[in-house]
Amino acid sequence: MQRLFQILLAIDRRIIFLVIFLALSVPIFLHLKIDIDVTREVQIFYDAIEALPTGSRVLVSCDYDPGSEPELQPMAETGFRQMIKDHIKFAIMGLWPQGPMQANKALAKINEVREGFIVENGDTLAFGRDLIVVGPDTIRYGRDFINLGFQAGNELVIQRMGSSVAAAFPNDARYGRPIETYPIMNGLNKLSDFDFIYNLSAGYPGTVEWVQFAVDRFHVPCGAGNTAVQAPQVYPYLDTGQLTGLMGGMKGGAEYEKLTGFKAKATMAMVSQTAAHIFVVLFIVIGNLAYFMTRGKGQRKGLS
Amino acid sequence: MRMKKALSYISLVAILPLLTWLVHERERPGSTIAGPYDLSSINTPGDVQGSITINWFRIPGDQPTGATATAYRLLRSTSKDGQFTEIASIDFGQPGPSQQSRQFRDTTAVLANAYFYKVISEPEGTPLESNIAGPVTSVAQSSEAGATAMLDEILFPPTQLRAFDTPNDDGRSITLEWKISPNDVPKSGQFNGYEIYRRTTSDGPFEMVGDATGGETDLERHVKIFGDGHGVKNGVAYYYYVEAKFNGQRAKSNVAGPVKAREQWFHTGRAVSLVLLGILIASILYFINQAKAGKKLFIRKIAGLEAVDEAVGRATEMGKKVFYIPGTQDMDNVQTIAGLTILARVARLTAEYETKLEVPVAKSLVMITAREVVKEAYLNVGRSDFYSDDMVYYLTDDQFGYAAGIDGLVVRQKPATIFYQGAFYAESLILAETGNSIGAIQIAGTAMPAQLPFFVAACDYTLIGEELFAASAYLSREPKLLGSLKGQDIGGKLVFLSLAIVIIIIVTVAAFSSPDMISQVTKMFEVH
Amino acid sequence: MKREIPLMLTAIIGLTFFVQFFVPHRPMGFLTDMFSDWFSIIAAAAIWLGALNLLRVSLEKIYKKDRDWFFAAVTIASFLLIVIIGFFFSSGRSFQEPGTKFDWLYINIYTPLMATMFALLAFFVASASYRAFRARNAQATVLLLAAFVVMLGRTPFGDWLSSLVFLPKGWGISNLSNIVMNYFNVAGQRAIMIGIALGTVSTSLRIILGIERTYLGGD
Repeated sequence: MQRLFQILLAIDRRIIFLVIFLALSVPIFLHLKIDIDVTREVQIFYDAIEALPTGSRVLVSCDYDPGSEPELQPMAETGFRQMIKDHIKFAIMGLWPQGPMQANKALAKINEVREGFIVENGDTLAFGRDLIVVGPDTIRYGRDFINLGFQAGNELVIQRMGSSVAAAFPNDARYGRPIETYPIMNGLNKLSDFDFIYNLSAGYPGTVEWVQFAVDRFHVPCGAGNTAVQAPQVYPYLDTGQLTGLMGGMKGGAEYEKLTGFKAKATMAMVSQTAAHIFVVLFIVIGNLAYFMTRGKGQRKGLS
Repeated sequence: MRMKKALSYISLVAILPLLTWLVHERERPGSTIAGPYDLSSINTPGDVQGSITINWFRIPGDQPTGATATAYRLLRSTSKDGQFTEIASIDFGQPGPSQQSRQFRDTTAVLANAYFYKVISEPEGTPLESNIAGPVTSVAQSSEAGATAMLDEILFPPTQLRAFDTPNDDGRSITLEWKISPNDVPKSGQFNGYEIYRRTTSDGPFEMVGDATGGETDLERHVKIFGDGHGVKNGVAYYYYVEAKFNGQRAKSNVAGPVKAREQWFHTGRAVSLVLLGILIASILYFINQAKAGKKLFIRKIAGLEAVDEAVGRATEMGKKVFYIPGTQDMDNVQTIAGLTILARVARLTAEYETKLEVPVAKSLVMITAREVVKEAYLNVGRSDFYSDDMVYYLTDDQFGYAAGIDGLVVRQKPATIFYQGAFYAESLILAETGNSIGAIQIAGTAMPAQLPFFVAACDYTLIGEELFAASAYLSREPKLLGSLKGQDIGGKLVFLSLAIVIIIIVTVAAFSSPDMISQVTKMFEVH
Repeated sequence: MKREIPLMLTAIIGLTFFVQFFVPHRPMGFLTDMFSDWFSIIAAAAIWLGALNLLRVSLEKIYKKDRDWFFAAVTIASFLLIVIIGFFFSSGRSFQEPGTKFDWLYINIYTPLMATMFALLAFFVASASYRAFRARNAQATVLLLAAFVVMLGRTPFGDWLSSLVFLPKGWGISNLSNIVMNYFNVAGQRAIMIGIALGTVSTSLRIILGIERTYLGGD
């Protein structure tokens, strides 16, 4: 028995990796499902978007890269779904270079008509590019949504937008035209003209900067989705009311999906996450057991 | 010793549940039903016969399904304190144009008479009264084209428009606040927002300067806020009104003005910041002076910094490299600067011991600065021949590309010592675990709270938060730097701690005696 | 002067930002916007220094056939692939838009690689937890218990476990997890953040006043 515990103490980490790999992958292949309770902070975020009047304009800041895609991409897709369903317009931007591309990817994922085009007032509008169809709703680039793109400068971009959005983003990312030429930007001259900021953040610059520069200085309400690692840092802002809702990690995404009624990737992944957590806890228990069993033996050996 | 251990376990077992019970969220008793609210009254627009329309928000229970057998009683009086008589009643569940509010048109109001109104309901037997709306005088409206038909829902105007110079800015901006129209309810498909109009003289024409969507901006004070920066000039008087748009109807607010935009010299919302910062800075400068005057200042041992020499020595003995990772952020991050300070010390040691040093970086500006730091360190020790620009090299800006690059270098070259000093994000555990897997001695230091647990778990030594910033003072022992460290501790922690204790006492007392004081105290320390 | 000019620039620009936080009057806002723009321009221009350095170092490794020169070759090949596709084969300005070759590289190569690196964390967390979470003393035990509560409380399994043990409503593992995260964690985070803020102020003051000069090279 002692020998077993000593082996366990010095176990090769590759065995741990293998067990975790199986814990993560097997539930996905077995299509297991799990029920999730919605937490207060996710409910606050969902309610805040629901409370926005039709025609409101939301700034969606995608401040993450593909590394955080598993956690934040479901939140982006669900957020776009909710806003499209509620006829809320949105402007996409990113303080990370890959952010706007992730947003494009999210829109492409939820879009139901990928091919074809229509001609309207002399403009050719391609499905999947200029038109996004989600259920009974169709949104049009330039009128219902716009992609402002990425801008270098971190929090200085937010500061710039405080006085003028066009100063920070003179042209849109898709066609390179001045943003004032798009109908969605009518009346959206500065940051405080937005009705809400939806921030998806994986690090710096991210939610902390949006709270410090947009919420505190320009009084625009902001709700956020963060990776599980970053979320604890951001909780203090939720308690003070500076953040209107917070979704943390994949569980936050799964709760959001449950609220919107469209269960997708985050919900599916919860089973894997649960399994992985259980195994990590088991490993810790085994490690401690092995530690205590061998520690006692070591002391007795020392005495004799 | 055993007794001490036993006591600490017992106290943990006893105190933790107690603490948990104290912070545990208790179930609150059910709230009482609120009475009908926000009653307002106007002359019915476009009614040539003259009538008054009142509007109020429905109370819970007044829905098309699940309605209780109760009604609203509408009462009217010719004076606010006079006798109110019932003029009508509306049953709960009776259909109405809006799901959130109800309206009633009083066609029995005598022309040119002023009236006051209130609404009462008794959902559970107890009468609940609204506010009193009025005085409003019934006046025959002129017939406007398309406006004479009895509309389902009348648009009520936004009210109490205030215009004032936007505080704490560099001018050229005026802020408007108004109470939103009662028809401005969430998810109203018919409410089309507000238009803001402005003029520069008291009798000139108004021009539209902006628009705003519906909904309150400040949920505490129940107002909509709009900032007008559209061509506003300092010192020029402006007048404003706001027009609500709803289902083809328009309703104007009162006119606010004259108001002039001005620049402010001092941001009053940050006065508290300035005072606290002033105390901190004064303390730092004071102790720097004390240190320069020769006073000895105590600084506690920091294990991670004590181990720097030992770590470099280990690499020298083993004939292996020292890797130094100065974080993944740029030179505008103060942690990176703190990391480079420690790099100077480490470079000095590697120069003295002739140990190979590699500094892969993620930002170009950091590469340039780190090269200067390392070159200067080698020069000061008289080993400039041992220095090469290739010791400091750029990998990539990309977070995980950088982590992958470092991991590859670590696994292949197997350095004996790895330093992680600076700002890190999710890559921290990837780097630290890889270093741990090859058996390197690792010393980490970061001021990123989320990454500290990972470094603590995977590294031999970790500098936590401000220990990273203390490194330059600790390693150099220079009096001025030690003085600033002491000043930061005394001026910062002591003052803030005292302040925190005072506020906690005030707020605790206020929680039992005067809950309003809590928000006043909170507002005092808000930084805008 | 090699030392004095940078110190003077640091002092002037640092003080400008400091003053602007409290004095909104012109020209403070204009100055800080201008300095911010300068930093953005310098940082953006400096990327070329890094990129050229990377190319030079990699080419040297290949030329000298240093150990692991193969990886340097992969670096250069990847670098050139992305640059050439982005500049010449992806419809000009909108190279990031869906349907371009650059976008294809992003979705099919870059995204899976980044996701793979991030996924490593799951495995490393398990191995680090196994190694580090030992109840060596009272504090380590508290840490261990908190880790159990939070890890289980963050998943539906925790609720299921609570229902087995018949805990009263509001005392389930997920509620305890929320208490740990919303109170203990926030208290700890705030304490660390306050310490860091004080350290940042002190370090920034030293840099602005020129007391801290290591970043310029030397003491």
